[in-house]
Amino acid sequence: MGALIEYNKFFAFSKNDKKYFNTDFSKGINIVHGKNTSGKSTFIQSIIYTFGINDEKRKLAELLKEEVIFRLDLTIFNPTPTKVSIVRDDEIVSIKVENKAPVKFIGIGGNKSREHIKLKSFLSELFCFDLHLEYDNEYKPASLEAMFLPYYIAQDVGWVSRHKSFRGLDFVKNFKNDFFDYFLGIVNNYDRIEKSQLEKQKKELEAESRIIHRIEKNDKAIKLAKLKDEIFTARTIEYIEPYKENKSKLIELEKEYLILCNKITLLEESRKVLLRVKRSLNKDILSQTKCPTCSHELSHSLEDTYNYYQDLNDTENQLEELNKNIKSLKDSQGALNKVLSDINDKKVIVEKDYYELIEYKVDNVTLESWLSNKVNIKLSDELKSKLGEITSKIFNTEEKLSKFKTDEAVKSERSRASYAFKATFEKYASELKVKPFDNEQFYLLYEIPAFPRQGVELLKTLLAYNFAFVDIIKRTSHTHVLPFLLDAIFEGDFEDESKNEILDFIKNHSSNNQQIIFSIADSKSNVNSATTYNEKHFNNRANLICIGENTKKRSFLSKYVGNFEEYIEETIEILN
Amino acid sequence: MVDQSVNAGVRAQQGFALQRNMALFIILDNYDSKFAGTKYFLSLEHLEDILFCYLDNHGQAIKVETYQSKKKSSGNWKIGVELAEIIIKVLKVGKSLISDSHPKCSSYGHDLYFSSNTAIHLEKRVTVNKKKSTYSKTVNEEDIEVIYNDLDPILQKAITDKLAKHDAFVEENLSDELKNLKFLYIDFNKTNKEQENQLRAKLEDVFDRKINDSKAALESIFGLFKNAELTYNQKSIARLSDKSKQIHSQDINNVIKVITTKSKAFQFWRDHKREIAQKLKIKPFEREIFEQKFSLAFDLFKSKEEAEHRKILMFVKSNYRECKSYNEDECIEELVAKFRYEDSSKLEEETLKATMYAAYFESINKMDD
Repeated sequence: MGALIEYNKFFAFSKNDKKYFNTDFSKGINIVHGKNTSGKSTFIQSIIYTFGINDEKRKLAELLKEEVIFRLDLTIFNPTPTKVSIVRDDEIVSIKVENKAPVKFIGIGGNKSREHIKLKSFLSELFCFDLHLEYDNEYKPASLEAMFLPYYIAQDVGWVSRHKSFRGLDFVKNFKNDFFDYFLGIVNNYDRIEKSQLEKQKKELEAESRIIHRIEKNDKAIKLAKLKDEIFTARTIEYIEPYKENKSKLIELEKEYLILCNKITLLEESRKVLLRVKRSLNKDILSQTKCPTCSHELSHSLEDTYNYYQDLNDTENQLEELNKNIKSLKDSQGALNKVLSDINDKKVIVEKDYYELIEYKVDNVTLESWLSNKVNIKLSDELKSKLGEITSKIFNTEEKLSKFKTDEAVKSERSRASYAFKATFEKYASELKVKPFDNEQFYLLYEIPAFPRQGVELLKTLLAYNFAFVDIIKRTSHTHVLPFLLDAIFEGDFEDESKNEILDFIKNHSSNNQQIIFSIADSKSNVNSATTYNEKHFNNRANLICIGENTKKRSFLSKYVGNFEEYIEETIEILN
Repeated sequence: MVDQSVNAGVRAQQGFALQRNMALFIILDNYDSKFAGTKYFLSLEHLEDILFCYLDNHGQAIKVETYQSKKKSSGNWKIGVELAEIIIKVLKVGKSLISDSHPKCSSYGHDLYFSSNTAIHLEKRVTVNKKKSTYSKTVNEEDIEVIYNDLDPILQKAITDKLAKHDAFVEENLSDELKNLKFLYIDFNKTNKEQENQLRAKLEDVFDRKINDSKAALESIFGLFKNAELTYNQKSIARLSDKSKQIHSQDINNVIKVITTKSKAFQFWRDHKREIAQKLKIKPFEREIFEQKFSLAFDLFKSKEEAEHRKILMFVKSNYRECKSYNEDECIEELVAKFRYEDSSKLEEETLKATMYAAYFESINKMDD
């Protein structure tokens, strides 16, 4: 058992309507009574609502219209007592722990709101509750509802099937297992996040390791080639050195060749211009001594003639010079061509050498196969080191995982817990004179399907179940213990005999360290009043909480007459 | 009895070209000592192969020099029929000159040259008192000019003996002209091509670096002779004063002025390409192309078809004198600015500037400095 929570006082008031409700709780048994529809469930739901559980909002819709402020005073024994006051005003929850300043959570209307998440973690810490559930493939702190679930049996669904008092929890993945495991102390769900991560990591590492193993095993040639590696390496170097030399020489020559080609092009461009100029000069009138049409002698000015001759001679000289240059360049290009062809010849030799080298065999391994395996050798080396790395990672992961329970261990623990539960459940069921189930499945906690019972029989089965469950989980060291809330234990049509059995059962299984708060309806058919039951079954030691003064319907709140001024003021102060 | 060898050279090349080349050779050979600053005219194949007539300020002939120029295909000239025939011709020219109506000053005289690029070997063997002796005189590289009057009388007699065999010698009193007869050895090549090369070398010698293209210079000079060449000798009597055959000293001086001042220093200009490239801050990797453009600009200027280049050259030629700057680079800047203002070019900036430089060089006839 972990933190034990005891409710001390519940107070609700509506300032506008000047109405209020107030009750104190006693240790042990608290019986909530009143006429049908007087507001007993409202009271129980209000307690839960005060903690910030929004699921109850819907049920309390009518009451909440009156703008009611709720306050619950409680004591947490862990083991030393801590006084806590929780005040809820609509969207606001304010919690005062001992004399510390109240912690306020404003805007907790939606379960996914930031403030609600803060409230959840605050309360979880306060009650030492750290169940994690899988939401969206991720383990996150469980909702507040899960904290109350073992200790709350709602009027309607609570008596139909187990752990259904709140909506929505069914939809959480693996809820039942995680929920049971947590309360039974089988697996710390919080650790499971790490465990599943480690498991995932291990799986990935193992997959990688398998692939690498496969790659390495498949290539038998690697091993052989590896042995010959050194011989081939030496031979290859012999081949590569002269090749490199020839290649760089070739590159140099090719560069030279290009430059030369460009030079020739440049000269040839000049030559084109000069030839054009020369053609033009030849057509020039100055080149004519006779008029082309009338054959009359032409006489040109001396200066023109001299100019013309100079131009013509210069052009011819330049052409001659250029032709000489071009020729010499072309000659050197010819020489270069020869070098290129020499290099090509050399290339052929080099190529021949290469093929010889390729055919070169050492113990029937050719260089070619060695070359192709050379890559694999490299790969193999890398694989080896990679494999080592992975193996050590797997080892580390396994070491970490060894601190967690194995699936088998969990299974057997669950089985053990199931049987332990079965013993208690079977006993409690028989005490309530519930007809035994002929199939063991209905007793084994993790396996129980819906109980195939109806009416009183079903209620008694679930009562036995819930008491057995609470008993079992209280044995777990970390389990927080809240007051056990049972709404409408006489739900349905009950024989007095059955009622007595139930009340006796409750009495027999009540303890001083856990409050039991249950409600019963006073009605015409119910001859015995709560007072009678108290006297008859609980030696008048149960605390009676009357709703609606035993006469009124829908009268959870009653008229406020000014006797709680100081308390209200204090409550408002916590809120502010 | 025509000796084929006498006219072989003439036949091998146009007679006129030979005379023209020879005349030019004579002028260039004696340019500074005789022809520079002298007033004269020259006739070819008129009265004589070559005729120089020196004039005074009134146009009166002071002196005439005639050259009978003969090539000989083989062997030397000797005293004989062949030589005598030529000398008769030369002496006849002297008579013609005297009778010519061209005004002459009182001190008028003339020299009648027989010139050849073959040695003239004058020799006479005589037997005096049974003693054989040989008188000789050779006109060659070592002794290029020999005057008839200076010859040994025996040699003179040997010549006149041969001359006397011609009727004209006596009939026309040609012996009067012997005092003007001179033998000249001219070391001149035999073919036209070689002669032209020789003349070009002479031009370069005489005018030094003022002529960049001696070939063009020579051809320009040849142009002078064209008119004279094309005027054929008419059947009528040749006259010294026949203007159509004259080439005057002022024409020759003029052509020499042109060829020495209008020279195009292409090589020198092109050699500036690196300097221009640097001035225009051409990047090294573009320099080769730029230098080519600069060099080729001079070529493109030559062609009338290269409108863009012609335009720039003409622009620079008509504007460079107006440049206000004192150095080349600033002048170019001025010209570029002016050109941009007045005209436009498709050439890109650098090429335009390079072309401008080239045009400037050509316009100012920039010479080796």
